Amino acid sequence: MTIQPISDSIGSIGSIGSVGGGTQGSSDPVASFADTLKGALEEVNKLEQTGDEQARLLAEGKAKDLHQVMLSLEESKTAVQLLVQTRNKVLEAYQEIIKTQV
Amino acid sequence: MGLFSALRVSASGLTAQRTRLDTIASNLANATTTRTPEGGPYRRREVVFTPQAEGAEPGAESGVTVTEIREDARQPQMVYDPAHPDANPDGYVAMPNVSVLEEMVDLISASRAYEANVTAMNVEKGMMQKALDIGRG
Repeated sequence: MTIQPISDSIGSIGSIGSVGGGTQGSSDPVASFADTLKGALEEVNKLEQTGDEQARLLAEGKAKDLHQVMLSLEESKTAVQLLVQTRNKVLEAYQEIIKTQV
Repeated sequence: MGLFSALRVSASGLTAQRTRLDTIASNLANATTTRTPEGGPYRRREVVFTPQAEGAEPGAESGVTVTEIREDARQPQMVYDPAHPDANPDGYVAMPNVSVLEEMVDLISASRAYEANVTAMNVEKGMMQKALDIGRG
């Protein structure tokens, strides 16, 4: 199981800024914000499912290593926390913009 | 280097130490086994660890893996016990080349190494938590 895509997709959230900068006429395709968020969500979901699967195997007595189960659960926990933090930051930015006086 | 690479490295250490523990347990359980399918007494086993070849670049983080479980080449201990069913005509029994004392020391060593890996894992986890706290203030 590779987890690199998580940091990739979350890292690409940083490229959202270039969506607004599209007025410069640059034509390189930037993934839409929704797609990026969806990708990150899917990655986190995958980790969650791995954690669930490991926990199920443990309950069934089929788990080979206890620490692998714990590792999967910790990984999914950390990934969810990172996702929540990212969401908080994005919402914060959105609210800042909403509050702008026109 | 992935997000959870340090955790994975520690996990490989945990797996390796568990294998080592299994081997030690097997040695202890068979400390007086005089009959094996291959003939002769049980032979002490030990694990061989090698670094996991992971990243292409040198100096990259790499875990540990058990590549081999080797038999100890030491000779069996000859113990005088004429009443034993496996005694030779001279009354000597070939006992396994397992020293219980040695195994106990290995056992403690494996247990401490396991703990060290768990500690490394927790430190890494703590660092991740701290990193997540950056945005929280």
